[in-house]
Amino acid sequence: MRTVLHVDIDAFFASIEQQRDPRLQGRPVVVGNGVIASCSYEARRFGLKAGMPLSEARRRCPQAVILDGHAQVYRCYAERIFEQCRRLSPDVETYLDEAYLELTGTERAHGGDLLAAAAGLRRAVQADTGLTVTCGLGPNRMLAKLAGKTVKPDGLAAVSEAEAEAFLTARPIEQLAGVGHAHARTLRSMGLTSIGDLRALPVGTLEALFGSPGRLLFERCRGRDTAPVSAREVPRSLSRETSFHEDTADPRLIEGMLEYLVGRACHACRERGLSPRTVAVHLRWSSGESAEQSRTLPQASAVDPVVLALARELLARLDTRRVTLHALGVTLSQFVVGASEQGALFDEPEAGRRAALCQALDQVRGTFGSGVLLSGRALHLKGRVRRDRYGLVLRTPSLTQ
Amino acid sequence: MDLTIQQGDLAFAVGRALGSVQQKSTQPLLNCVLLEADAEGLRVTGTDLDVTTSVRVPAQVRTPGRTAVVARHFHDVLRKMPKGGLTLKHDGKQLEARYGDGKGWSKFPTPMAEDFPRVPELKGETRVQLEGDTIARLVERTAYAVSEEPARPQLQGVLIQGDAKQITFVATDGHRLARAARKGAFAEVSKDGVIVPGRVLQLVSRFAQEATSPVEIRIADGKNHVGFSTRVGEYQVQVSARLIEGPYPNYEQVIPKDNPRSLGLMRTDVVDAVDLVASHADSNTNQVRFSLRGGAFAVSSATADFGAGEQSVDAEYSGDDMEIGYNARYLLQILRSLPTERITVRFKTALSAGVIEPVGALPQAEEDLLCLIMPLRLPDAVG
Repeated sequence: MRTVLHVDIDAFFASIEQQRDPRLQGRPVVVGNGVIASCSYEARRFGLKAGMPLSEARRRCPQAVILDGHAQVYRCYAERIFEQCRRLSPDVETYLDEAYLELTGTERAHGGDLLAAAAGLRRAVQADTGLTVTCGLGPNRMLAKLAGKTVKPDGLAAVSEAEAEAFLTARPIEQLAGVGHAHARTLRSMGLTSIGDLRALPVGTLEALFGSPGRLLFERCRGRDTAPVSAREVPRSLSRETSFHEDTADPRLIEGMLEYLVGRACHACRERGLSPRTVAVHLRWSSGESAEQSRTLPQASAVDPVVLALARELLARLDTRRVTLHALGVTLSQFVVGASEQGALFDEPEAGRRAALCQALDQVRGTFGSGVLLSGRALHLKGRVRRDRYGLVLRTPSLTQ
Repeated sequence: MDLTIQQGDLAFAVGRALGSVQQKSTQPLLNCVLLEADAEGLRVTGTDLDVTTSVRVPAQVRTPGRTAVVARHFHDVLRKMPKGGLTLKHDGKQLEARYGDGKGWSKFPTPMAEDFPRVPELKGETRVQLEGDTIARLVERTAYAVSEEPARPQLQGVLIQGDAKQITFVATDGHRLARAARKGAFAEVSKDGVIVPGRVLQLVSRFAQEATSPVEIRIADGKNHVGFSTRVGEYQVQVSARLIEGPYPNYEQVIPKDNPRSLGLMRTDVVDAVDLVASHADSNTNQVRFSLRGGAFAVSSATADFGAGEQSVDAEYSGDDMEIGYNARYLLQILRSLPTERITVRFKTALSAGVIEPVGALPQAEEDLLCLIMPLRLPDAVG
């Protein structure tokens, strides 16, 4: 029988902030910029939730402590928690603040009691990081996650295959994986409010309503989910973005930030042994409008100057409006794994030196922290953007892969 | 215009002229071929402004004249007409073709031919002659290596150089290079050479193979145009094109002089092995690995998505152990272009250019061929 464990870090960013600053404990804490990225359970009592605009959060809960957040710190915490997870199972699929563990076949290693193993994991995480996690055990990913949802925060629950149907029947339709706002509205308009109600629809109707994902919903509302737990070695894309501390039209600041973001993104690629083929730059102006353009490199490359040259070209094509810029981002995608860079006949010495330089920079940053080196145009950011050991302290650090 | 012509002659002329007509041009006249009849016969011309092909075929012309007709459609209909004589008549509005001894007729609308681009005349030019099959071989051995990147237009062409001893065709995209030469006195072409667009040479190569007289290459004095002309039986074919502006990179500088490690291989063995093993390679990088260990040689490839494979190939190698990565596509194109069965690959390091050459005399003793390929920088490669 299959068993999947879902681990969810409770109020992830907010809990870390409360840990780091004891004065925040017991108070409503919100992390985010523009919108709530994460909020503590104290804040949730006021009706705050992720995705809510900060202005509304302030109105609902004037006493809330609102913080910009420390992306690097969160990443370190998450990595430590995922490290604990990997002790339980070799198959761990991690996200920003949650993980799926395939426990099938590990029963003997855990003495036959997977519930106890999950409880042990919760204790280990608490001892190691001081954070609480909620664990859900189920016969597949979907049920494991839903089981956890019922006991949040700081809980542990299990749903067996036999209980699955009864467990699902009364749950509201929104809780089914794959049903978002739009689908929920459609289904509610048809008088379908619980997952059990959905079972009345034949597969053809669901497919007609939602296309091919309809077939998935048909399976899922019956508690069936065959998606495997697999560590995604290759992310679909990797982005680094930020908004400026003040909207700006200063080309030195904009290009400096572009160079810095490209450097960070390329570094992240190299760390993972990936080379992107596609580079995208996106802008958001203070007027609220935004634009994005992408281009493909002739050869996949994670070398800063190669990616930067293309990114600068894209920026020049995009930044044509006479409005100050609010935010800037770089997204790399279409990765080639373990790509070896194609050697070049005519500028080989330069390409070789560039690769060696990147390697040297990575080593220096690995030893002394990302903040110790700034390149070229990014120097314009010096003195204008705060810097710490982890690099520049960006206003809206990217928290995703 | 009023003339009688053999269906086969006209189909040949229109088919060849079609070679330089674009698939779909925004300028309606560029979708056409120009038909010009005079006392000597019929000339059919197609152009996309960069490349012009014109073919002169015999015809009994009663009234001279010129008209344009939509190339692809005219060719499609023409091919279906019965063999034998057909008469073409243009009354100013449409072109009438009568075929099968008056049994059938077709009429084609004709746009105004006045604005059809003029075929550039090559003035005060340099002329050299080469046998058709020689040109076809030189093109076949080099043109695959031209670049498709618009960023470096010089590399989108083949460099043709000459001196007192030989004529040389060179093509490279910066990752691989092919240089094919033929002995002879070609000092007229000049050492600096001219850069001919790759697709022009592909067109030239097609009729050079069937040429019944040597192909004449003419380079205009300003070095902005080149013309290739020859006879195919009774037909006169000419391709003229705009040259690509240089300078061409100094390729001689990147040909390694001292690659001490030499790997002797049978060409078909290694082609088969690379082709098979590359099925496991990433479809973007096509990365295959050459492993030289203890005198044995193997080709391998591995990816998470497509699995892994390795094949040993008989080889003569007596250097140090080494691992080199290559793009299989580049490698196969080079290997398939080599005319001899025995070949050598000479390396220095896993990061520097490898030289691939035929061993022994080429089937045509007065010809010469050398190919370069840059490795892929393997993560474990040692410089």
